[in-house]
Amino acid sequence: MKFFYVSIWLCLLLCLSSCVHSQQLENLGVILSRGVDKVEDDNIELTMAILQFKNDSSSATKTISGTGKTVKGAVKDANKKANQEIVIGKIDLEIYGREIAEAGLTPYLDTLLRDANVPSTMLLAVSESKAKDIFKVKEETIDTNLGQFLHGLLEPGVEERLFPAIQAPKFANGINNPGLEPVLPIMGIREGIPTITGLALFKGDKLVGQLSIEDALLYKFIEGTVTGEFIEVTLPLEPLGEYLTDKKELEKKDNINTLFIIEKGSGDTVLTDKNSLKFDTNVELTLTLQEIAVSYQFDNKKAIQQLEREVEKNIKDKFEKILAKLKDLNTDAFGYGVLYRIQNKGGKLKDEEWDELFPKIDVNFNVNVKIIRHGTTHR
Amino acid sequence: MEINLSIKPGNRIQAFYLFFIITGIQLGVGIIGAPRYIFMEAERDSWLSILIAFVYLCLLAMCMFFILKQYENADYFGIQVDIFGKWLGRILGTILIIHFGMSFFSILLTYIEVIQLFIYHALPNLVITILIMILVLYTVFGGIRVVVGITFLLFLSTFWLLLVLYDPILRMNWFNLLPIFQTSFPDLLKGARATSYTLTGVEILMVIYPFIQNKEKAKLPVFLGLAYTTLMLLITTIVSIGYFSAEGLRSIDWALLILYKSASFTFIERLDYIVVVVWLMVILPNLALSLWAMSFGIKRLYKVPQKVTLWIITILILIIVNFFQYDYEVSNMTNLVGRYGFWITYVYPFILLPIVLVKKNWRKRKGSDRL
Repeated sequence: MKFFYVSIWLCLLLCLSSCVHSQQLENLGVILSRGVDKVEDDNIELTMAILQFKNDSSSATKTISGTGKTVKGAVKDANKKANQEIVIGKIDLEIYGREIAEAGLTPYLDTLLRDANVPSTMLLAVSESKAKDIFKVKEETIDTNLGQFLHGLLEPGVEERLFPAIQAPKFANGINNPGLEPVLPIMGIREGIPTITGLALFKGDKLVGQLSIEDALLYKFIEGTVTGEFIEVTLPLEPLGEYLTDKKELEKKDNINTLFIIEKGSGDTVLTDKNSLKFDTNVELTLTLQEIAVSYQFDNKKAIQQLEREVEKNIKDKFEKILAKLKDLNTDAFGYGVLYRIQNKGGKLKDEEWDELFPKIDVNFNVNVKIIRHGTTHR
Repeated sequence: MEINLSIKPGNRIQAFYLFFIITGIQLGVGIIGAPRYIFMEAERDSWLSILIAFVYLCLLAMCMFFILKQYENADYFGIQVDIFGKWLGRILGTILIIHFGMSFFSILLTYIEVIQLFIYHALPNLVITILIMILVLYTVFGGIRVVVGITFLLFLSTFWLLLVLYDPILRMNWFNLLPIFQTSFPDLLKGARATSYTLTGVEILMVIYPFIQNKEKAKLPVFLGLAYTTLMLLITTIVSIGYFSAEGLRSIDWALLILYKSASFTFIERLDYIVVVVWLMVILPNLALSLWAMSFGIKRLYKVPQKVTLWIITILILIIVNFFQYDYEVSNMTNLVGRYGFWITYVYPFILLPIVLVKKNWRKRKGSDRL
């Protein structure tokens, strides 16, 4: 009897299978990355790198585009040109054209946050010019499919959580967070290949300026802990002259180039005086020397200390320049406002209030550099 | 109607299962959206509100145990008939049954909405309800021991969901939780009240208590269960506030599921789809316990066989579920349950307690007069 009931239920289940919309892999075009641009008549143009699983197609990816009044509408338009159903479930990267980033990204973020199908691990970036330029790359030049290549630029390791990997929710939360402005990586084409060219600074959802790629590394120190990356430093030779093995070098050049591996780099900021807006940003760097253009007395402790001091001076200088630029644009990408907000009563901070205060802040950068190793040779 | 129940030894359950029963009926769909509701009231000190709610829950559980101790082996239905007489007692019992029914229904509707939002946009309510009801009915037809068994098993098999939260925890910004101790005390209490829908369900203790074999050991599992649910809610809320910024959380409806969206593994890209489906295992104990409590209550009050009630309730649910289309209807429904459920779950036992004590005292005196 029990068997009878169970079989009735199971037969019912068979009928139910047609209620669900089925998606066969061969009939799908999976969006890996897409670029968003504005075209005339307030239309949105999407350029998408799509992965396809058709047996007979020559390439695993193809690039298609579509226009529409909304982002989803543009996908629908592109769908007409493709013989597959285009799905968004595995999208890794969305690139915005510079023009629309300057006008504000909120309208384009809405669908990303509203649609449960869009993964939260999706990264965002801004293009130097039109976003569709990035997708014009010939696949032969990059040896892999375009979608994977673009994503790999931003996220080399799976567990990398710092810039340049900025997920859509993180960016959206940065817009909402009083006292902290979001940033995004900027992508551009160099010699026919897409690369990261800098760090886009936002104010709210609008792009207002950019930092160079070298400065972006310094931004990482403030954001979290950095390990295993290279840092290139150009130092004046004069203060190091005393410890050069060959003093004649001094006459030949003014500067030397050095390169270090960052063993560990991290920074933290404290608000020391709320009324006069004094902040202390302490940056701790542990470095290993990888390359230096002159021979130097590395067996001398004082010589190393002198080198450390010069590197400290150099980095501190860079930080101050970045801050001056941020103050100029009045965008608090480092998040000093968050520390100010915490000291406020009720923990609230109006955007306007901080806009007024941010250019007046006084930050003391304490950079502490330790050069702990200098490779396998002494000189 | 018997005030005290005599349960066959084969139907009794061990006291430690109360832990799973309490967590099973408390954790459900409420916790998915709760961080937002708590945050709207208590802001960054939401965690403090949840702790206040926990203290209150412990007092509530103590109160319930105290009422139950006055009787030999009674439940809510029996006690109410004993105190208020046959008619009023029956009406109060019926209200309790309707409360179980409403919370059953709100859980079902909310889960259907989640399925439609996250996976199948066009799947009709009826289809999802039929599929879920097959499972729930199958469980409840097995009797109390099967219901408790499923609660225990599904607790173990959904425990891993907690571990996936490591990813949003790594991504969260702890500054969003600062500064602490800024919310005023009335707002904290409002925040604690906002947890009422999520933490509702403790009243099952007053229904299932006669089935407990070793009653002297019943207290610890109940308090541990309450602590476990509170901890879950606490973690979810803290991570939500840290992950979404303060202003962002105000507009996020399904905070917990969106937290799960940020976790991704090389072998499973979209873990959130699995979590949404596995969430059925989280709500199944909830549904099964509520449905069992309903059918058992009707059997107690009106002597209708459980099987008959179960079929009638199922048919009713299959009909009503089609009328809910708009998402605001669903949220109105949960708000309704949260609002009046607050009085039934959290306030009513404290009103009942003095009446029980007075009546017992009065009866004792009457008894001694006679002697």
